[in-house]
Amino acid sequence: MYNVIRKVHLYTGLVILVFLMMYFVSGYVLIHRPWFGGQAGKPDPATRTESLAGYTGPRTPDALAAYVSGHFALRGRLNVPPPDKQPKGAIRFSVFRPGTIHEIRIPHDDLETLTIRTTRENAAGLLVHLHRIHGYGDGSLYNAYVLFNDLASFSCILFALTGVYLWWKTAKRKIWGVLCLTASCAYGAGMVLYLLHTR
Amino acid sequence: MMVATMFQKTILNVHIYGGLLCFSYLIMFGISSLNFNHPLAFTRAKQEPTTWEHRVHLPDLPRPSATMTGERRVATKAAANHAVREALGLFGHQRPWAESWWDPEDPNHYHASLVRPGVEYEVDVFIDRELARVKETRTNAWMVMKGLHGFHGNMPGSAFVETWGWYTEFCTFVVVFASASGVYLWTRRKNERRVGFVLISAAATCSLALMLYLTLHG
Repeated sequence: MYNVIRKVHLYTGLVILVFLMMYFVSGYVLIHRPWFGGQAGKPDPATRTESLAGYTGPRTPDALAAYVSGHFALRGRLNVPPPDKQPKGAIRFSVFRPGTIHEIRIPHDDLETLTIRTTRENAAGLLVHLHRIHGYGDGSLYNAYVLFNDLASFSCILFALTGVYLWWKTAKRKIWGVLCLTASCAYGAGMVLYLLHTR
Repeated sequence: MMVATMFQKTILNVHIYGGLLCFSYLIMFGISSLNFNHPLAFTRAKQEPTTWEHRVHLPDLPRPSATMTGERRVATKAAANHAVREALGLFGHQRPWAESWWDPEDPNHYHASLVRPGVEYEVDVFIDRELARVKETRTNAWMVMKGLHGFHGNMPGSAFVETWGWYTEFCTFVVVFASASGVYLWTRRKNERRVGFVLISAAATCSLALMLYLTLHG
């Protein structure tokens, strides 16, 4: 049993290492972005106007988003806000991939013209984007990425539990480990209970 | 040889005890991360709101003027929200945008929106009556863990909750160290090097290729 748990702890770590490191490093950049240059080095957004002449499909946000992203080769995940989040007087959606966001706006009073505003990120921004990809349903590669995300999340729980087992089985003097584990559990549980029950 | 063994033992001990100190963080981090991808309805359930009242004395609550810029307006509402929060003895953040507003029909009525992991407060302050009516909506442990995910910075009104930011910093470094030390400790065992090398190479190649492809091609 000890060897099985040890191998699970080791091999899970080796497999998920790169993704886990990406998440912790990018998460650190996310919360301390000014330390990593902030917005410095970002190119200015580029805006261009394009024509929808020739489009004969429905003039709904979802249909237009699918057409525009394919026709103008805007690669990435589509994000079409629901009707209650659409601005008055225009249709708005975006196409996102790590490091690049295309924001598209089609005014209701001129449905033949659209503006595409492209924003590119610096290195810190790219890491933040990689950190924030969530949710299945945008093609096999994004699904694979999000699956790795899930595996990295699950591995945190697995490392913690298998790690405790391995320590318990190998430590000769357990007092220091017990103190560390008790402190961690008391603090974590205490924080959650405090936030749940305090006014 | 002795020095190498001592070094290896030290690395192992830091790996183990650092990991034990981060146990609860790793569990909560894993659960909250899974929740980002799987926001199941029961994890977002809120309790029925409760309403309570409290006497407050806020005659000089900051209010925006017509000449203020949008940024100044937001800053003024933020100051008003914090004044309301302190008067009620609460801790947490505030939402100074559309969620907080002065009643255009009653200059003595201000609505403050306050929030923290686990609770949302919608507060109606009646300055002339020195009364605050609070609608309190509690969420659940899942939302609390989500709120603690990567929490850093300040928590106005609660030095205790602010300590979680330090714990985040500590655990981030421990996890990065544990990953590097885990790889080092693995290389010390001859009989597992080949299998491990195949696994780490294949997984690292796939991971990096996927990130690179999504970045360049979307």
